[in-house]
Amino acid sequence: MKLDPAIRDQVLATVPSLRAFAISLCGNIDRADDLVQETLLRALAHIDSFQPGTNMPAWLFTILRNLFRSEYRKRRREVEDADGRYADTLKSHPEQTGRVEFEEFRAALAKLPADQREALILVGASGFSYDDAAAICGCAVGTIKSRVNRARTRLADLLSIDSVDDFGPDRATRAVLAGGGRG
Amino acid sequence: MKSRKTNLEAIEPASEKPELHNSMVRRPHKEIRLGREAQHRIGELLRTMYNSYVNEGVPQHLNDLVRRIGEQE
Repeated sequence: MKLDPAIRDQVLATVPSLRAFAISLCGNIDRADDLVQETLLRALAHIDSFQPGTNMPAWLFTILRNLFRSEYRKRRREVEDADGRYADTLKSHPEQTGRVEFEEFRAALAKLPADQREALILVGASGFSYDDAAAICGCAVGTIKSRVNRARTRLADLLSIDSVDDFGPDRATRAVLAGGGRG
Repeated sequence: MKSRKTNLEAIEPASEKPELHNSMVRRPHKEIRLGREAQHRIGELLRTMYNSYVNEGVPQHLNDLVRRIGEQE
């Protein structure tokens, strides 16, 4: 049976964000593309289990996440990308953020535990609600919230981003400090 | 200003409260909540990175794969 073109277009429309999720999880573009390809093959082989009108991105992200957890989680040395091959495989770097800052952020993200990293990406970048993220990860909403919070805290620590609202100097002092840093 | 008890405060003299076993003492919540500016900065960096991947679009081989499978009877 041929695939409904509407369903096919929904799948294709999800691929860019699905791939971004995979790259963020794997830290390696080639492996991420393999993971996305495997996800698509599995999804299309079981397309009958998808109910039209429900959340296609969440369905595909769930399949990808489960594949990643079952097959890729143990390859931590590849996630760390110590020799920087991953950075070289990137086709482009964000222009609005300095390359050094981007690389530091990517390296810090790779140091997070996988469960925290995926929760942060799903909620903070992919745009899923906490409920959807919990369904994708197969855990409670409170667990996702906790993981996201821990991931942010850990990243702030790794990137030396101060939690100025809570512990830092007051607004006037921050303004002076910020001004001094630009000179 | 509301005062908070910390584990640095002097131990209070014995009170009338029943003594609790160590395992029953409620420990302080370990999770730290980041300030809004820190959260905003991390969110900004995360979205910038993520969107750089999203903007690469659909690789040709994945596009071909989906269309080829979609055409199969």
